Order: sequence, then C-alpha cells, then structure tokens
Amino acid sequence: MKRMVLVLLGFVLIVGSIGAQGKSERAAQSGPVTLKYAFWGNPDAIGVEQDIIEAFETLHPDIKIEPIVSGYADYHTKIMTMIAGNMAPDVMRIDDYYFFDFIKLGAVESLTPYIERDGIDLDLYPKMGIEEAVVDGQLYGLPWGTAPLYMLLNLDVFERAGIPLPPLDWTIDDFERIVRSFNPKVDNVYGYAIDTNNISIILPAVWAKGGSLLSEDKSQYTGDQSGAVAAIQLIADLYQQGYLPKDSVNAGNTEALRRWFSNNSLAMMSGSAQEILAIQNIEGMRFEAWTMPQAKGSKNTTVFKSNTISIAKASKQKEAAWTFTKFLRGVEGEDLYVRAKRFPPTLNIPENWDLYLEAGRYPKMIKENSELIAAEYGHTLPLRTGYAAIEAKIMPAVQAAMLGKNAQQAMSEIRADIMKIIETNSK
Amino acid sequence: MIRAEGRAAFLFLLPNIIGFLIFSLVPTLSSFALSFVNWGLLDKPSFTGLANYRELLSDSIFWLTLKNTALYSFVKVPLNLILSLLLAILLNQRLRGRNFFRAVAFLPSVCSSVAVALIWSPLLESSKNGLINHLLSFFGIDVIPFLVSPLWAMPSVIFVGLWKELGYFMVIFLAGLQGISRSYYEAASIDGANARVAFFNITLPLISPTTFFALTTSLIGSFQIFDLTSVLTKGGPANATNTLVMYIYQNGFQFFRMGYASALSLILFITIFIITLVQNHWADKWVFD
Repeated sequence: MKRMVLVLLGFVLIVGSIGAQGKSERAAQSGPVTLKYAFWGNPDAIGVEQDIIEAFETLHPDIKIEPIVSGYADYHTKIMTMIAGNMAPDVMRIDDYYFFDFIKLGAVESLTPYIERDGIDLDLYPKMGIEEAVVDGQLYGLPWGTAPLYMLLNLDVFERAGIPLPPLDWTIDDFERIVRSFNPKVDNVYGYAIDTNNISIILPAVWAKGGSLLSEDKSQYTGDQSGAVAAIQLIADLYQQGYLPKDSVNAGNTEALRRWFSNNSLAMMSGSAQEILAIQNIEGMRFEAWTMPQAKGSKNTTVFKSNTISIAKASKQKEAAWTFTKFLRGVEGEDLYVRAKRFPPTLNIPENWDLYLEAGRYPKMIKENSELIAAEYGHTLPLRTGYAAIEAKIMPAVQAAMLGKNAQQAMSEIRADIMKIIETNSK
Repeated sequence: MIRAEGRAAFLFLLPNIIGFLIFSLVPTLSSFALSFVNWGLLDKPSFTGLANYRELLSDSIFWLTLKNTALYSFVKVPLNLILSLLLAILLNQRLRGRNFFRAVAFLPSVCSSVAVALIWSPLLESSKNGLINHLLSFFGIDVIPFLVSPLWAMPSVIFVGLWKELGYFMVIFLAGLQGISRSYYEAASIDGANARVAFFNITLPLISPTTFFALTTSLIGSFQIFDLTSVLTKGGPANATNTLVMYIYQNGFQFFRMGYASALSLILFITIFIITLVQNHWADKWVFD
C-alpha cells in the first residue's frame, strides 16, 4: 500500500516537472523572444493595446508580446503575486499610488542606465510624470497617461440653472457659492458630488484652503491642521446641509456619479481622462474639463496624476523589455494611444492634439485647459511608500466628518496611526 | 479482501487528500508561520516574534472589524435559518407552480455575490432615484440612507446577504422536511395536535440535524463575509461595514503587510474554530439523531 502511494506521488511529480521543463525548454529553444506585458483593462477587449502590440511586433519580428490583463481592482495585487511567484511580467504598468511601494520592495529596474546609453530625451515627457518616477536620482519608469484630474462641468445643467461657468482661476469660495446655488431638495439636481474612494478627490479642496495632508517632504501628517480641517469641514457642511447627494459618502458609488452626471442630475464632478472617455460615448452630453477651484494667490490645486511603465527587476529579457518600453512610451506608442482617444496627449508633441481632438466633440476646451493645468494649475500627489495605508485611514475619517463628526476631531484621531505608517515605511 | 477494499478506498480518497494538503493544510501552516514575520511579498521575511499579535491587540480597526463581522453573522444567521425554514415549509405544501417558485427562490444563490451587490447597489441608492426609496415614497416614507448611514449600512448588507442565501438554505430545509415520515403527523393529528403543536414537537426536533448543518455552515460562511461589503460599501461609511476578511485583504494585498494579514487570518481561524466547537458541544442538547 505504502509503495503504491509513493509510486503514485512520484509519478505525479515526474509528470508535472516534465511538463514544466518541457514548456521552458520549448520557450528557450524557439526563435522569437516573448515578453509578458501587464496592464489593467478589459481582458475581453484590450483595444488600443492590441494595436500597439501588433505595430511593435511588425517592427520587431523577433519579439513577441504576451498581454497580461486584469481589471484595475486586483491588478496590483496580481502583479505583486506574480513577482513573488517568480512569474514577473517583463514590462508592467503601475499606478503611481503604488509605485513607491514597488520601488521599495525592489520590484522595478532603474531605467537611468538605458536612458543615458540610448540618449532618450526626457524633455519629451511631462515634468510631473518624470518627477513621480524618480527616487534617489534614479528613474524607475516612463510616464503613462499623465493627465490632470479635471473638474467636469455639465453645460446643460449650468444653463438650465442659469448659472454662468466659473472662470479657470475660480476660488474655493466660488465653488461653494455655485454648489449652494442649486436646490436639490426641490428639483433633485446637485451642484457637486464626490466619491470618497480616494484622497485625490478631496486634495484639491485641501490645497485650496491652504492646507495639505502630508508635509512637503511627506514625513509628517498635516491633515489635522487648519487648512485641511477647513476643507474637510466645508465638504462635511455641504453634505450635512443636503447640497451633496447622500450617496457621496459611499466609497462604492463611482458608477452612480457617472450616472447622475449623464442624467443631468449633477453639475460638477471630478473626472479623470478615463471618465472623459466614458462620458464622451453618451450621446448628447455637453461638458467641459475644467481646473479645480483654487486658493486666493495659489493656483496649484488641480491634481496632476501619472502612471508608470516599468521593467521588472526579475525580467530575464531586460534589453527586449527596454526596446518595447521605448516604443510603448515613445512617439509611436503615444501616437496610437492618442488616435484611439485613450487619454489626452501626454508627450510634449503639440501636433498630437490634432490627432486627439474631434471637431464639435466635447470637451471642446480640453486642449487649452490641459496645457494651462500643466503649466500653472497642476499639483502632484503626496505619493510615498505606504500611500494606500495612509489613504485607508484618511478616507474613513473624511466620511466620519461628513456624517456629523467634527472635522478637527476626525482628522486628529488618526494622527497616531498615520505617523506609525509613515515611520514603518520609512525604515 | 478487506485490505484490498481499504486500498481502493484510499486511492479514491487520494486526490481529495492531495488537494487538501496542497490547497488547505500547507497554506494554513504557512500562514501560521508568516504571522511571526514582517514580509512585503517581494523582500525577505524578517522574524518579529509576537509583534504582529501585539499590534493586533491595540489595533482599533481590528476590533471594529471583528465586531462588524460578529454583528453581521449573529444577526444574519438566525434570520436566514428562520426565513429559509418558513419558505421551505411554504414550498413543501401542495401548491400550483411549486417547482417554479422553488426555482425562483433558489436563483439568487447561483448568482455571484459581486453580481448581486452590483445589482442591489443602485436599488439601494439613498435618493428617490433608488428603486427601493422610490417605492417607499409612495407610502409617504422619507428617503432611507441605506448604504450611507452607519445605522443602516450593515442592516442593508445583511438584507442583501439574506436575499442571496435564502434559496440555498431553503433547499437544504426542504430536503430535511421531506425526510420526515408522514406517519408522525398522522399520529399527532389523531391525538388532537394542531399545526403549531406539530411544528414545535415534530417538525423542529426531526429537522434538528439539518438545522445544525445549516447553522454551522452559515456561521462559518458569514464570518468570512467580504465580497458583498467590498462592492456595496467598500467597508464604509467610516468603517461601519468593514469586516475582518476585508481588513485581512487590505493589509495583505493593498498595504503589502503579509505578516500582519496572516496574524489576522489566524485570529479569524481561531474565532471560527471556537464557535464551531461550542456549537458541537451544545449540539447534544438539541440535535436529535
């Protein structure tokens, strides 16, 4: 009996290892190099990424690209698990929220030697996108989808309410006045709604009130100081007084925001390039992409966010991976992304706006407003290691303030926890 | 012959045993070991002894998630058992279209929890645009903040959980009810027992093994609630529906603290284990075999 069990187990092990060995030997023996390229999206319809892959493979027949796609929600978990399981993708897109964690954990390769060797002109890339990928003088990725988080304005709602559009240099007081101009109890139309899913949504208000959530060097928590508290209290007051939809406090209501906006029940909402793409597909939607409200004397309140394309440190095909990365984030890849309207142009190539824009298609002012935001109104996120953990402390505190807790108390109670996260992640 | 039969039985069980070893026992033991280290998935684990457990004891979010999980379980499970039993008794009668109604009741349990949560999310919207609030407005009831009030959020999640699982436990109770011989009811009827007396003295005792099974599996499943809260409320508002498994997930896969997540997992395991042991201990008193 024991002998039979051992024989069976041995058989299973041998068959399994032959299968695995065979696969890797087949891979080693075949001609083209196969790169694994990981990104988030719809696994059933990868769209422009397929076009990019085909265009690259045509130019480089010796390199095959195998896409690894999953939905955003679990994407970074999947990538981390793949890396831990020695199945790292060669090239991967990383959201900047997590980028510093990936760097700290040694998951990504420095691109600086490749850039210097090949003489890549970094002036082509948005300055803020490059800044977010540099640690200790080394550049760990090339920016992808660097774009502002706009304030989307529903033109029909504004017109019906008889409220003129704000100027681009509008203040937080202008914002409050506009929101309070709507009377949702009467006509179920709100001036603004938020999604308490991430810090990016509340940061513009915090900056507009002269505050911050982390210090300049990101080593101290400042969310319980006057500017930040005033911003959270403003949002809380608007919510308590019925000027924001009740569901604004639900972090799972992103889809609802888009629904209210497209149903003309909402005048303003924060929106990324992806939101713009979704809303553009709704027939008859007239909207603009605007700056965020500012402080008097300080314009930099519009979040300018990026993602990064990096090469995994564990990649065994770094040269091929670099060749693909250069294409993906170079002129050729950018050209395809912009033609597909995946995001507004990010490289400093003014002609790309002609590829992105369509006559008569909203938002019509996106070009001038994006350039203005990049030049004058943009502000990068206070990204650092442990950012997700810090966000997970701050957003429930914001929700508690919206539900009636004093904002000062709500933001002070989390100080010890956040400082602990910062200290742990600074080691 | 007996040895040959034993060998055959073992061989048939072997795939399950191998699966249990690879996918259950080894990961459980690994998780136990990981709970004593700091590990960010990609770096080398560093031994920290009981530090994760000490941190856990003073972690207010851990206690809150444990409380939320217990609240969800100890409210939902009794309601689930009572309602699914009543539904099973109703659908055990000779009714026209009985099979159709049984299928309809069972349907939600075959849907994925994520799909169920995505469907219910707009229905529970806290405005007149939400279907439930819209219907309630016809009765003069003000908008109820289902998913956005700490008072209502957990009851709403419990409601959706009940809606999803009622059909599954109804089928289990149906099987139990159909296992009761009619002769008991006939004898009771001859002795003058009415329906209420028959229910409490015949039906309930004789389906007690089924009830015990349903209670145990339902409690174990409820303590691992994750997908409904993750989609409906993301643990909000203000952590009112944040559950232990959600907190484990956040620590492991969003904050990359595998050691701490493993410690939390072990606490969950011990909690469920103790509850199951207590249930088994008390089963002698009310389960009639």
